[in-house]
Amino acid sequence: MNTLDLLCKRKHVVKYKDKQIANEVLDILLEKSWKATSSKNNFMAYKINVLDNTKTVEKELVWQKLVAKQSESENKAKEDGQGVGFSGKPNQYYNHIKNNSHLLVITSRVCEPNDFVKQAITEGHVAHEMYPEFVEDIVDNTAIEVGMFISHLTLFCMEENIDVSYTACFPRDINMWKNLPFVDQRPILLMSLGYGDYYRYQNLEKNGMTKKDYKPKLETIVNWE
Amino acid sequence: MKHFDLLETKRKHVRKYSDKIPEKQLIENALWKAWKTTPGKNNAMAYEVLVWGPDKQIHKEAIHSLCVKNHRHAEERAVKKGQATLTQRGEQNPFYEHIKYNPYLLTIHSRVAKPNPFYQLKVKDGHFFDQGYEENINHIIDSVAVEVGIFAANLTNYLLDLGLDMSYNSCFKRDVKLWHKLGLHQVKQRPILMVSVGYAEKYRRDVLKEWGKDKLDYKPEIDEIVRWL
Repeated sequence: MNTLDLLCKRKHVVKYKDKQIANEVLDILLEKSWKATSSKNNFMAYKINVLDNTKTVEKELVWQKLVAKQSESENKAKEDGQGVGFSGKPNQYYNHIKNNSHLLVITSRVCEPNDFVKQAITEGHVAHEMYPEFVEDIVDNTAIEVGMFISHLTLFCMEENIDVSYTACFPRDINMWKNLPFVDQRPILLMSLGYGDYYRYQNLEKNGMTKKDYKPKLETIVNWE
Repeated sequence: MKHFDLLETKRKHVRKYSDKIPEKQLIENALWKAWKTTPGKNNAMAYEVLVWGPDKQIHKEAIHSLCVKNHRHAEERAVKKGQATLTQRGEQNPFYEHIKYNPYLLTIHSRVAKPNPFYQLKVKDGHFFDQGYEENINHIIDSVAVEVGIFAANLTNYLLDLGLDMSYNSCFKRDVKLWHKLGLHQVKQRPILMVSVGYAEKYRRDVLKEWGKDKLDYKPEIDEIVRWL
């Protein structure tokens, strides 16, 4: 299958089947993504924490943080005159975070330089990825690389008929993650994996919303100068 | 060729592009596919891709100067903070040259988005469409940058399929006023990523080999990046 057809298969999952991805299979897909993804100064300043199907308590805690964030940001929007406030109903499209085969919690990472960068540093090069105080300053670049990594992982998952979904709605403040100590730097993205049973597009179809939920036109995104 | 093999063997950072200019249609086609297959939170796609074509040499030189300036200032700040003992004394990183000399340069910037009809209804129910406000641009930069990374990686796949090369750069001035000072008024919001596209004549790895440094520049081991809990 060509790349376009393969990536067109990706659909946001509302509910996964009970069927699990074998850890060995996911391990291979993660290794392929690690190999295929490039990085500024070869730092890869992020960490991918993998929670398999035995980590149900942890996944529930992660989901609770999403709902807390939803409530906080919708109430803040009301204060700022940008919304009407939290209705008290958790977003149903967060459910893939607690019920899945595997959940990836991707965070920033403070790095050590490789030998090439070490040498460059002696000649005046500066590497922000080595310092915890720069984690926030460089998060745009780190997040780009996370996007590249998960794009490759998604492609390899589609080849294996594994479904994936992403979420970027969660608290960034590390202090909000104290009951999940593996989150030792600011979180960047959550990605769930499994075999889809029910998809968001089906829900939109059921509610007659398919035609209303479209992406911006190509010419809104791409401009030839 | 399998997707992994394509990425593993074909994607290489370009030191120098050849003079051969890819047909505009090829770039348009790859951009359309990347747009089509890249998801966006709230379907907002809160970014904009500016394409600087073969006739935009002066613009590319101006953009390159923003990379050089950023690099120099980062080194000077590091010396002031005691994180480095010296700078490279203004010496230009040769691996930024792909920004100046290429057939096509894409600069990707934040964009204030409008909700589609579905999200207009959701907003009425309390949903916060954070991509719709200019003042939120820096606050949501991480999630927009993840999407830009997905877009760039998908675009890369399509370009590689067509036999094209590309390279990325994220070292540049973020302040949009500095872009305007150089006359780059097409830029409306903060830049996030640059991608150059063309046919390569020489790759970075060839240069490292010539320098005898190719074995020094390795990535972290997988167990530093992936942690099974």
